[in-house]
Amino acid sequence: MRLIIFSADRAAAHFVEALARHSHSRVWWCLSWHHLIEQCHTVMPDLVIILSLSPFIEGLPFVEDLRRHTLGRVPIYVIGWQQSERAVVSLLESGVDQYMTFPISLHRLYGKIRQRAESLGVNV
Amino acid sequence: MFSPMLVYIYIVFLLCITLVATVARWRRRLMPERERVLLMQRYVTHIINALLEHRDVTLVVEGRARRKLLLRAIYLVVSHSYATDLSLLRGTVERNRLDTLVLRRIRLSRGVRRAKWLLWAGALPLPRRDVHSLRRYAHSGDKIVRTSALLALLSARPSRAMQIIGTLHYSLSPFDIRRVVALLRRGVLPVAYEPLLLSHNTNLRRLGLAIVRSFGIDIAERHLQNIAISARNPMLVRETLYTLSSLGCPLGRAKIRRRIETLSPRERGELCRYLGVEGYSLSALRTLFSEQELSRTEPLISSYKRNLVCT
Repeated sequence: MRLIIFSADRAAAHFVEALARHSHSRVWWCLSWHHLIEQCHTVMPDLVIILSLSPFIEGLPFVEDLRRHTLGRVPIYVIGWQQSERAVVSLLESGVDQYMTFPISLHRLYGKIRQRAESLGVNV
Repeated sequence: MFSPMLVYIYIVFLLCITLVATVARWRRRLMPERERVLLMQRYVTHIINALLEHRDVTLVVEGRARRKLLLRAIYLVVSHSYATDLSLLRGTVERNRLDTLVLRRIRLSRGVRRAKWLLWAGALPLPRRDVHSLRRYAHSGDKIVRTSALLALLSARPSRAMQIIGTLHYSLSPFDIRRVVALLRRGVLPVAYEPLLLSHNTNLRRLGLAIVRSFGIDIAERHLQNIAISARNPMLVRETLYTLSSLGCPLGRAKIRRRIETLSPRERGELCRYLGVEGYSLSALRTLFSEQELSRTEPLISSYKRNLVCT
Protein backbone atom coordinates (compact mmCIF):
# COMPACT_ATOMS: atom_id res chain seq x y z
CA MET A 1 0.00 0.00 0.00
CA ARG A 2 1.20 3.52 -0.79
CA LEU A 3 0.84 5.96 2.07
CA ILE A 4 1.65 9.67 2.22
CA ILE A 5 2.14 11.46 5.52
CA PHE A 6 1.79 15.25 5.59
CA SER A 7 3.37 16.77 8.67
CA ALA A 8 5.45 19.81 9.54
CA ASP A 9 6.67 17.93 12.60
CA ARG A 10 9.30 15.37 11.62
CA ALA A 11 9.06 13.60 14.97
CA ALA A 12 5.32 12.96 14.70
CA ALA A 13 5.86 11.77 11.12
CA HIS A 14 8.46 9.23 12.41
CA PHE A 15 5.82 7.88 14.76
CA VAL A 16 3.19 7.24 12.10
CA GLU A 17 5.76 6.11 9.55
CA ALA A 18 6.98 3.39 11.92
CA LEU A 19 3.42 2.08 12.31
CA ALA A 20 2.86 2.17 8.56
CA ARG A 21 6.09 0.29 7.85
CA HIS A 22 4.99 -2.42 10.29
CA SER A 23 2.17 -3.09 7.81
CA HIS A 24 4.72 -3.29 4.96
CA SER A 25 3.41 -0.10 3.34
CA ARG A 26 5.57 2.23 1.29
CA VAL A 27 5.66 5.62 2.95
CA TRP A 28 6.40 9.13 1.70
CA TRP A 29 6.69 12.13 3.97
CA CYS A 30 5.71 15.64 2.82
CA LEU A 31 6.63 18.78 4.63
CA SER A 32 4.68 21.30 2.55
CA TRP A 33 1.41 21.54 0.69
CA HIS A 34 3.12 21.83 -2.73
CA HIS A 35 5.26 18.79 -2.04
CA LEU A 36 2.13 16.87 -1.02
CA ILE A 37 0.34 17.70 -4.30
CA GLU A 38 3.45 16.79 -6.29
CA GLN A 39 3.74 13.46 -4.50
CA CYS A 40 0.04 12.73 -4.99
CA HIS A 41 0.51 13.12 -8.75
CA THR A 42 3.58 10.92 -8.78
CA VAL A 43 2.74 8.27 -6.21
CA MET A 44 -1.10 7.96 -6.49
CA PRO A 45 -1.42 7.07 -2.80
CA ASP A 46 -3.90 4.63 -1.29
CA LEU A 47 -4.09 6.58 1.97
CA VAL A 48 -3.15 10.10 3.10
CA ILE A 49 -2.51 10.82 6.76
CA ILE A 50 -2.32 14.44 7.87
CA LEU A 51 -0.78 15.23 11.24
CA SER A 52 -1.78 18.85 11.53
CA LEU A 53 -4.98 20.90 11.61
CA SER A 54 -3.37 24.05 10.23
CA PRO A 55 -4.27 23.36 6.54
CA PHE A 56 -7.94 23.25 7.58
CA ILE A 57 -7.79 26.28 9.83
CA GLU A 58 -6.34 28.40 7.03
CA GLY A 59 -9.66 28.14 5.20
CA LEU A 60 -8.38 26.59 1.98
CA PRO A 61 -10.45 23.90 0.18
CA PHE A 62 -7.79 21.45 1.24
CA VAL A 63 -9.67 18.20 0.84
CA GLU A 64 -11.20 19.10 -2.55
CA ASP A 65 -7.79 20.07 -3.93
CA LEU A 66 -6.24 16.89 -2.63
CA ARG A 67 -8.93 14.64 -4.10
CA ARG A 68 -8.70 16.44 -7.46
CA HIS A 69 -4.96 15.77 -7.62
CA THR A 70 -5.18 12.13 -6.56
CA LEU A 71 -7.76 11.43 -9.29
CA GLY A 72 -9.88 9.28 -7.03
CA ARG A 73 -11.45 9.01 -3.65
CA VAL A 74 -8.39 8.41 -1.52
CA PRO A 75 -9.21 8.19 2.22
CA ILE A 76 -7.85 11.08 4.27
CA TYR A 77 -7.14 10.52 7.94
CA VAL A 78 -6.27 13.39 10.21
CA ILE A 79 -4.55 12.97 13.55
CA GLY A 80 -4.26 16.00 15.81
CA TRP A 81 -4.19 17.24 19.36
CA GLN A 82 -7.51 19.16 19.18
CA GLN A 83 -10.18 17.54 21.36
CA SER A 84 -13.10 19.93 21.04
CA GLU A 85 -16.34 18.71 19.49
CA ARG A 86 -16.49 21.79 17.25
CA ALA A 87 -13.10 21.01 15.71
CA VAL A 88 -14.02 17.38 15.09
CA VAL A 89 -17.36 18.21 13.47
CA SER A 90 -15.75 20.90 11.27
CA LEU A 91 -13.12 18.47 10.06
CA LEU A 92 -15.64 15.78 9.22
CA GLU A 93 -17.82 18.35 7.44
CA SER A 94 -14.86 19.43 5.33
CA GLY A 95 -14.54 15.93 3.92
CA VAL A 96 -12.05 14.17 6.16
CA ASP A 97 -12.80 10.46 6.49
CA GLN A 98 -11.42 9.86 9.98
CA TYR A 99 -10.22 12.13 12.76
CA MET A 100 -8.18 10.68 15.58
CA THR A 101 -6.59 12.48 18.49
CA PHE A 102 -3.19 12.26 20.06
CA PRO A 103 -2.33 10.47 22.26
CA ILE A 104 -3.43 7.59 20.13
CA SER A 105 -3.47 3.86 20.71
CA LEU A 106 -0.73 2.19 18.67
CA HIS A 107 -2.95 -0.82 18.05
CA ARG A 108 -5.87 1.32 16.93
CA LEU A 109 -3.89 3.34 14.40
CA TYR A 110 -2.12 0.24 13.15
CA GLY A 111 -5.52 -1.44 12.84
CA LYS A 112 -6.85 1.45 10.70
CA ILE A 113 -3.85 1.31 8.37
CA ARG A 114 -4.06 -2.44 8.15
CA GLN A 115 -7.81 -2.31 7.45
CA ARG A 116 -7.19 0.01 4.52
CA ALA A 117 -4.41 -2.22 3.22
CA GLU A 118 -6.62 -5.31 3.45
CA SER A 119 -9.46 -3.51 1.64
CA LEU A 120 -7.07 -3.08 -1.28
CA GLY A 121 -6.28 -6.79 -1.24
CA VAL A 122 -2.78 -6.30 0.21
CA ASN A 123 -1.64 -9.17 2.41
CA VAL A 124 -0.39 -7.69 5.73
CA MET B 1 60.89 37.31 39.07
CA PHE B 2 58.53 36.78 36.14
CA SER B 3 57.90 39.72 33.91
CA PRO B 4 54.21 40.67 33.36
CA MET B 5 54.67 40.00 29.64
CA LEU B 6 55.59 36.36 30.30
CA VAL B 7 52.54 35.92 32.54
CA TYR B 8 50.25 37.36 29.86
CA ILE B 9 51.74 35.07 27.20
CA TYR B 10 51.30 32.09 29.49
CA ILE B 11 47.62 32.95 30.13
CA VAL B 12 46.91 33.48 26.43
CA PHE B 13 48.63 30.16 25.64
CA LEU B 14 46.43 28.33 28.20
CA LEU B 15 43.28 29.96 26.81
CA CYS B 16 44.21 28.92 23.27
CA ILE B 17 44.83 25.32 24.36
CA THR B 18 41.47 25.27 26.18
CA LEU B 19 39.69 26.71 23.14
CA VAL B 20 41.23 24.17 20.75
CA ALA B 21 40.36 21.28 23.10
CA THR B 22 36.75 22.50 23.49
CA VAL B 23 36.22 22.84 19.74
CA ALA B 24 37.71 19.38 19.12
CA ARG B 25 35.45 17.85 21.76
CA TRP B 26 32.42 19.63 20.36
CA ARG B 27 33.15 18.46 16.81
CA ARG B 28 33.55 14.89 17.98
CA ARG B 29 30.15 15.03 19.71
CA LEU B 30 28.36 16.66 16.84
CA MET B 31 26.39 14.19 14.78
CA PRO B 32 25.45 15.10 11.23
CA GLU B 33 21.77 15.98 10.90
CA ARG B 34 21.07 13.25 8.35
CA GLU B 35 22.59 10.57 10.57
CA ARG B 36 20.54 11.84 13.51
CA VAL B 37 17.30 11.68 11.53
CA LEU B 38 18.02 8.15 10.27
CA LEU B 39 18.95 6.89 13.73
CA MET B 40 15.86 8.48 15.26
CA GLN B 41 13.70 6.81 12.64
CA ARG B 42 15.38 3.46 13.30
CA TYR B 43 14.92 3.70 17.05
CA VAL B 44 11.26 4.79 16.78
CA THR B 45 10.54 1.94 14.36
CA HIS B 46 12.23 -0.60 16.62
CA ILE B 47 10.33 0.62 19.71
CA ILE B 48 6.96 0.68 17.95
CA ASN B 49 7.46 -2.79 16.42
CA ALA B 50 8.31 -4.17 19.85
CA LEU B 51 5.31 -2.50 21.52
CA LEU B 52 2.92 -3.70 18.81
CA GLU B 53 4.15 -7.27 19.25
CA HIS B 54 4.15 -6.86 23.04
CA ARG B 55 7.77 -7.91 23.46
CA ASP B 56 10.72 -6.26 25.24
CA VAL B 57 12.52 -3.47 23.47
CA THR B 58 16.06 -4.79 22.96
CA LEU B 59 17.94 -1.78 21.62
CA VAL B 60 21.53 -1.30 22.82
CA VAL B 61 23.40 1.82 21.69
CA GLU B 62 26.88 3.20 22.25
CA GLY B 63 27.90 6.76 22.91
CA ARG B 64 26.16 9.59 24.75
CA ALA B 65 24.75 11.18 21.56
CA ARG B 66 23.02 7.94 20.58
CA ARG B 67 21.76 7.33 24.11
CA LYS B 68 20.26 10.82 24.10
CA LEU B 69 18.65 10.09 20.73
CA LEU B 70 17.22 6.84 22.08
CA LEU B 71 15.81 8.76 25.03
CA ARG B 72 14.16 11.22 22.64
CA ALA B 73 12.72 8.34 20.62
CA ILE B 74 11.23 6.77 23.76
CA TYR B 75 9.74 10.11 24.82
CA LEU B 76 8.28 10.62 21.34
CA VAL B 77 6.53 7.24 21.32
CA VAL B 78 5.31 7.46 24.92
CA SER B 79 4.02 11.05 24.63
CA HIS B 80 2.10 10.40 21.39
CA SER B 81 0.45 7.13 22.45
CA TYR B 82 -1.75 5.92 25.28
CA ALA B 83 -1.78 2.76 27.35
CA THR B 84 1.87 2.10 26.49
CA ASP B 85 3.29 -0.71 28.60
CA LEU B 86 6.37 0.96 30.07
CA SER B 87 7.62 -2.33 31.53
CA LEU B 88 8.62 -3.37 27.99
CA LEU B 89 11.07 -0.46 27.97
CA ARG B 90 12.71 -1.40 31.27
CA GLY B 91 15.35 -3.65 29.71
CA THR B 92 16.55 -1.11 27.19
CA VAL B 93 16.58 1.66 29.84
CA GLU B 94 18.80 -0.46 32.12
CA ARG B 95 21.10 -1.77 29.39
CA ASN B 96 21.71 1.73 28.03
CA ARG B 97 21.84 3.35 31.50
CA LEU B 98 19.30 5.93 30.36
CA ASP B 99 18.16 6.50 33.96
CA THR B 100 21.72 7.46 34.96
CA LEU B 101 22.04 9.74 31.95
CA VAL B 102 18.76 11.53 32.54
CA LEU B 103 19.26 12.02 36.29
CA ARG B 104 22.77 13.36 35.76
CA ARG B 105 21.60 15.81 33.11
CA ILE B 106 18.73 16.97 35.36
CA ARG B 107 21.23 17.68 38.14
CA LEU B 108 23.71 19.53 35.93
CA SER B 109 21.32 21.61 33.80
CA ARG B 110 19.12 24.59 34.60
CA GLY B 111 15.93 26.21 33.45
CA VAL B 112 14.28 25.01 30.27
CA ARG B 113 16.95 22.34 29.68
CA ARG B 114 16.33 20.86 33.13
CA ALA B 115 12.56 20.93 32.41
CA LYS B 116 13.15 19.07 29.13
CA TRP B 117 15.19 16.34 30.87
CA LEU B 118 12.51 16.05 33.57
CA LEU B 119 9.85 15.47 30.90
CA TRP B 120 12.01 12.78 29.32
CA ALA B 121 12.47 11.19 32.75
CA GLY B 122 8.66 10.98 33.03
CA ALA B 123 8.58 8.74 29.95
CA LEU B 124 10.94 6.16 31.49
CA PRO B 125 10.15 3.35 33.96
CA LEU B 126 12.39 4.67 36.78
CA PRO B 127 13.18 2.79 40.01
CA ARG B 128 11.73 4.16 43.27
CA ARG B 129 14.97 5.69 44.54
CA ASP B 130 15.36 7.72 41.36
CA VAL B 131 11.80 8.98 41.56
CA HIS B 132 12.46 10.10 45.12
CA SER B 133 15.39 12.23 43.93
CA LEU B 134 13.05 14.14 41.57
CA ARG B 135 10.82 15.37 44.37
CA ARG B 136 12.94 18.38 45.20
CA TYR B 137 12.48 19.77 41.68
CA ALA B 138 8.70 19.89 42.25
CA HIS B 139 9.39 22.73 44.72
CA SER B 140 11.67 24.68 42.39
CA GLY B 141 11.27 28.43 42.04
CA ASP B 142 11.28 28.00 38.26
CA LYS B 143 7.68 27.39 37.12
CA ILE B 144 8.60 25.36 34.05
CA VAL B 145 10.94 23.11 36.05
CA ARG B 146 8.42 22.48 38.81
CA THR B 147 5.63 21.69 36.31
CA SER B 148 7.87 19.23 34.47
CA ALA B 149 8.95 17.67 37.77
CA LEU B 150 5.30 17.33 38.82
CA LEU B 151 4.47 15.56 35.55
CA ALA B 152 7.47 13.24 35.98
CA LEU B 153 6.40 12.36 39.53
CA LEU B 154 2.80 11.74 38.47
CA SER B 155 3.96 9.48 35.60
CA ALA B 156 6.24 7.51 37.92
CA ARG B 157 3.79 7.18 40.84
CA PRO B 158 0.23 7.45 39.44
CA SER B 159 -1.28 5.74 42.50
CA ARG B 160 -0.08 8.64 44.67
CA ALA B 161 -1.26 11.36 42.27
CA MET B 162 -3.83 12.84 44.68
CA GLN B 163 -1.30 12.99 47.49
CA ILE B 164 1.35 14.60 45.27
CA ILE B 165 -1.03 17.28 43.96
CA GLY B 166 -2.73 17.77 47.31
CA THR B 167 0.55 18.66 49.05
CA LEU B 168 1.70 21.25 46.51
CA HIS B 169 2.41 24.61 48.11
CA TYR B 170 1.33 26.63 45.06
CA SER B 171 -1.80 26.91 42.91
CA LEU B 172 -1.71 25.05 39.64
CA SER B 173 -2.14 27.29 36.64
CA PRO B 174 -4.65 26.38 33.88
CA PHE B 175 -1.64 25.38 31.76
CA ASP B 176 -0.38 22.99 34.48
CA ILE B 177 -3.82 21.44 34.86
CA ARG B 178 -4.08 20.98 31.11
CA ARG B 179 -0.79 19.10 31.11
CA VAL B 180 -1.94 16.84 33.95
CA VAL B 181 -5.13 16.10 31.98
CA ALA B 182 -2.88 15.19 29.02
CA LEU B 183 -1.36 12.50 31.28
CA LEU B 184 -4.85 11.19 31.89
CA ARG B 185 -5.43 10.99 28.17
CA ARG B 186 -2.27 8.88 27.91
CA GLY B 187 -3.77 6.44 30.39
CA VAL B 188 -1.10 7.25 33.00
CA LEU B 189 -3.57 8.53 35.61
CA PRO B 190 -7.06 7.22 36.38
CA VAL B 191 -10.09 9.29 35.34
CA ALA B 192 -11.53 9.36 38.86
CA TYR B 193 -13.20 12.76 39.04
CA GLU B 194 -15.47 12.20 42.04
CA PRO B 195 -12.85 12.10 44.86
CA LEU B 196 -11.24 15.16 43.27
CA LEU B 197 -14.49 17.16 43.23
CA LEU B 198 -15.30 16.15 46.81
CA SER B 199 -11.84 17.11 48.07
CA HIS B 200 -11.32 20.34 50.04
CA ASN B 201 -8.04 21.03 48.28
CA THR B 202 -8.42 23.71 45.57
CA ASN B 203 -5.84 22.17 43.22
CA LEU B 204 -7.55 18.79 43.35
CA ARG B 205 -10.97 20.32 42.80
CA ARG B 206 -9.76 22.31 39.83
CA LEU B 207 -8.23 19.17 38.38
CA GLY B 208 -11.56 17.41 38.88
CA LEU B 209 -13.34 20.24 37.03
CA ALA B 210 -10.84 20.03 34.18
CA ILE B 211 -11.42 16.27 33.90
CA VAL B 212 -15.19 16.77 33.78
CA ARG B 213 -14.80 19.45 31.08
CA SER B 214 -12.28 17.50 29.08
CA PHE B 215 -14.23 14.25 29.02
CA GLY B 216 -17.71 15.79 28.95
CA ILE B 217 -18.84 13.90 32.07
CA ASP B 218 -22.55 14.86 32.30
CA ILE B 219 -23.23 12.78 35.38
CA ALA B 220 -21.03 15.09 37.45
CA GLU B 221 -23.66 17.84 37.23
CA ARG B 222 -24.90 17.37 40.80
CA HIS B 223 -21.37 17.72 42.22
CA LEU B 224 -20.74 20.80 40.09
CA GLN B 225 -23.91 22.50 41.24
CA ASN B 226 -22.95 21.84 44.87
CA ILE B 227 -19.53 23.41 44.31
CA ALA B 228 -21.01 26.41 42.50
CA ILE B 229 -23.42 27.00 45.39
CA SER B 230 -21.20 26.27 48.39
CA ALA B 231 -17.57 27.02 47.42
CA ARG B 232 -15.99 30.08 49.01
CA ASN B 233 -13.15 30.53 46.54
CA PRO B 234 -14.48 32.92 43.83
CA MET B 235 -12.07 31.50 41.23
CA LEU B 236 -13.39 28.01 41.90
CA VAL B 237 -16.99 29.21 41.60
CA ARG B 238 -16.28 30.85 38.25
CA GLU B 239 -14.50 27.77 36.95
CA THR B 240 -17.41 25.57 38.06
CA LEU B 241 -19.89 27.81 36.26
CA TYR B 242 -17.85 27.57 33.08
CA THR B 243 -17.67 23.79 33.48
CA LEU B 244 -21.45 23.57 33.89
CA SER B 245 -21.81 25.70 30.76
CA SER B 246 -19.46 23.53 28.74
CA LEU B 247 -21.68 20.55 29.58
CA GLY B 248 -24.78 22.48 28.53
CA CYS B 249 -26.34 22.15 31.99
CA PRO B 250 -29.22 24.42 32.99
CA LEU B 251 -28.18 27.35 35.19
CA GLY B 252 -31.65 28.50 36.18
CA ARG B 253 -31.57 27.17 39.74
CA ALA B 254 -32.15 30.04 42.23
CA LYS B 255 -28.96 29.46 44.23
CA ILE B 256 -26.86 29.41 41.06
CA ARG B 257 -28.52 32.59 39.80
CA ARG B 258 -27.63 34.27 43.09
CA ARG B 259 -24.04 33.15 42.66
CA ILE B 260 -23.90 34.61 39.19
CA GLU B 261 -25.21 37.90 40.60
CA THR B 262 -22.19 38.07 42.93
CA LEU B 263 -19.76 38.14 39.96
CA SER B 264 -18.25 41.46 38.91
CA PRO B 265 -19.74 43.18 35.81
CA ARG B 266 -16.73 42.21 33.72
CA GLU B 267 -16.99 38.57 34.80
CA ARG B 268 -20.73 38.57 34.11
CA GLY B 269 -20.12 39.92 30.63
CA GLU B 270 -17.50 37.24 29.93
CA LEU B 271 -19.81 34.49 31.20
CA CYS B 272 -22.70 35.83 29.14
CA ARG B 273 -20.61 35.75 25.96
CA TYR B 274 -19.32 32.28 26.79
CA LEU B 275 -22.86 30.96 27.30
CA GLY B 276 -23.83 32.49 23.96
CA VAL B 277 -20.99 30.66 22.19
CA GLU B 278 -21.85 27.41 23.98
CA GLY B 279 -25.31 27.49 22.44
CA TYR B 280 -27.57 28.73 25.26
CA SER B 281 -30.70 30.39 23.93
CA LEU B 282 -31.64 34.02 24.50
CA SER B 283 -34.57 33.03 26.69
CA ALA B 284 -32.25 31.00 28.95
CA LEU B 285 -29.83 33.93 29.20
CA ARG B 286 -32.60 36.42 29.96
CA THR B 287 -33.19 34.61 33.28
CA LEU B 288 -29.57 35.26 34.27
CA PHE B 289 -28.58 38.60 32.74
CA SER B 290 -30.08 42.03 32.16
CA GLU B 291 -31.01 43.35 28.70
CA GLN B 292 -28.00 45.65 28.74
CA GLU B 293 -25.67 42.74 29.41
CA LEU B 294 -27.37 40.74 26.67
CA SER B 295 -27.03 43.49 24.11
CA ARG B 296 -23.47 42.42 23.22
CA THR B 297 -24.27 38.70 23.17
CA GLU B 298 -27.53 38.88 21.23
CA PRO B 299 -25.86 39.53 17.83
CA LEU B 300 -23.48 36.64 18.51
CA ILE B 301 -26.35 34.25 19.21
CA SER B 302 -28.31 35.51 16.20
CA SER B 303 -25.37 34.95 13.87
CA TYR B 304 -24.70 31.53 15.33
CA LYS B 305 -28.30 30.49 14.91
CA ARG B 306 -28.43 31.93 11.44
CA ASN B 307 -25.55 29.59 10.53
CA LEU B 308 -27.47 26.61 11.86
CA VAL B 309 -30.53 27.50 9.79
CA CYS B 310 -28.50 28.01 6.62
CA THR B 311 -26.78 24.64 6.98
